[in-house]
Amino acid sequence: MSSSQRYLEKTTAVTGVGLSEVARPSEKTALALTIDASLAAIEDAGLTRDDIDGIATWPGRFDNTPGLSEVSLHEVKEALRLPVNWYMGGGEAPQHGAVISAITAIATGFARNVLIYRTVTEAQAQTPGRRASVIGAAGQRLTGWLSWLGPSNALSAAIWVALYAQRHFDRYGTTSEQLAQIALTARRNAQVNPSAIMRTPLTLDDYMTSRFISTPLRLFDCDVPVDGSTAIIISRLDAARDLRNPPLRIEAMGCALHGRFSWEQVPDLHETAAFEAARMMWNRTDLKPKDVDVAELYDGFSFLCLMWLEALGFCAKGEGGRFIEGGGRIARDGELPLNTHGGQLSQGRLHGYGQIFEAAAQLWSRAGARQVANHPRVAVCSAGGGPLGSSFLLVRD
Amino acid sequence: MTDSQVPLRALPQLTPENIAFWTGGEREQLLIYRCMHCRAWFHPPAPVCPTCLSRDVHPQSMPRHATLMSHTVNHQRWLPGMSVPYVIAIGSMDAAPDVHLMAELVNCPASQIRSDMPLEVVFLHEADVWIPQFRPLRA
Repeated sequence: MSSSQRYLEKTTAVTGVGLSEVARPSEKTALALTIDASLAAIEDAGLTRDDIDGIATWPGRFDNTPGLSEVSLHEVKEALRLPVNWYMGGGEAPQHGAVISAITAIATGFARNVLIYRTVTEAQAQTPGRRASVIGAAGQRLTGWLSWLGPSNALSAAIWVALYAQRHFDRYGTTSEQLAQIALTARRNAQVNPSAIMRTPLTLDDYMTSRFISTPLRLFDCDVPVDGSTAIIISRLDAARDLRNPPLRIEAMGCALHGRFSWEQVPDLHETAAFEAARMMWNRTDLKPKDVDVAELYDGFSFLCLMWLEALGFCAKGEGGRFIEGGGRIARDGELPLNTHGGQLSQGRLHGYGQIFEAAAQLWSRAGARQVANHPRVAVCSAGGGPLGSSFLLVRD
Repeated sequence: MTDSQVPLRALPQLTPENIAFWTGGEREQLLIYRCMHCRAWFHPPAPVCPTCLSRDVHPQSMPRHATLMSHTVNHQRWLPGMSVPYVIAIGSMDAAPDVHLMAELVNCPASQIRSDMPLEVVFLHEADVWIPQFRPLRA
């Protein structure tokens, strides 16, 4: 049996992408942003709404933290009157769960063209007393896994990630100057991305003198809450050949979680879900890390990006700090261009889906001033931190 | 805390499975689930042993000594009125190193924090729960 028969993600492809305005804040509602992105993606693929027979999103409507996900899949289906055979908006998955769902639906024949959207309105939802991405802010009692963290005032992912970063600093000698390169690289790329929120120059000195959020993480290690929507069309590869764009095959995807679903119970506070997702992904392809032309990796916090570089095997475990030292290797003209759109740190927190949009833009050589040279052919995308993690390879044949 | 004060903390919803953990501190006990069959400790609580799948599991008083795995000094005021900075640590429990707690580290200036330093669990009483905290183990 050939690997394309065994691993059915290979029968699917990204065929169109769309991005709404990204603003802080936007005057548009979350649903209006979603429609902007969705219609753009459908048109980009060369499809009409009647061709869209599936919808997927992550995490679906979620009211517990302001602006995280206010658009229900049902509203999008209704607004566009999409004739779907299949739909799925489940939150108990890694951030790219909608991609995993779409692949599954297409591979089983439930759908041919799936619209994926992810909308955040964390800028317009934020007020002085109502901050995005903080748990327990409304005084409600905590349930589930958050209930083990919140009572100790570990109220933000900034704290959970900081604990992993400090461990990495202590164990491997990773430094703030090294970690800074993630944020500085993102900012340099954002400066040539018209949709990026943070476009003023950022120096190492600016970074080193910025205030701590939770040591060793500083202000510029944390992504920027924004309003915006990303939409992706995933189609059956055999039907995608005739569409507008060259199909971007999903060469392999990984989403394993063999270890603990937990931030604090991971045995060495290092091998998070990212490592397992990446192992699974590489086991489903003949490609190797050296074949990757551009890396669009989750950077809700700079340290998560460093973690993904290690997890994906671009460097050895513990070597992430030295790998990014000086920033040359991960620059737009380096051996592994990283977050060429500016990432969540500087484009804004589109929650893993900005990375997918950018991977497509790069592989279709339409990234303008931030385009990586020599027509990149292989991109890797990832999302997640702690117990959440998935990654996939996109290939333009 | 008096009744007129609004609790600043995000408190847990108590359940039959977690109530021992959150209230053991009233008697100075860290109550962690343990398998009566294979003797493994595990956390968070569940109605089955994750090692041997026995259903004969109960909260037991675990020795309160731990070892620091990592820490962070938090400077951000996440909720209105909270006092900063404060230190959050992950400690590995000496009686069962694969049982970790993420908790505040108190009575310890940041300059004196060392990786692998010995800790002990104490409790902070808030409303109907006793929240575990770490402090340096006194020699």
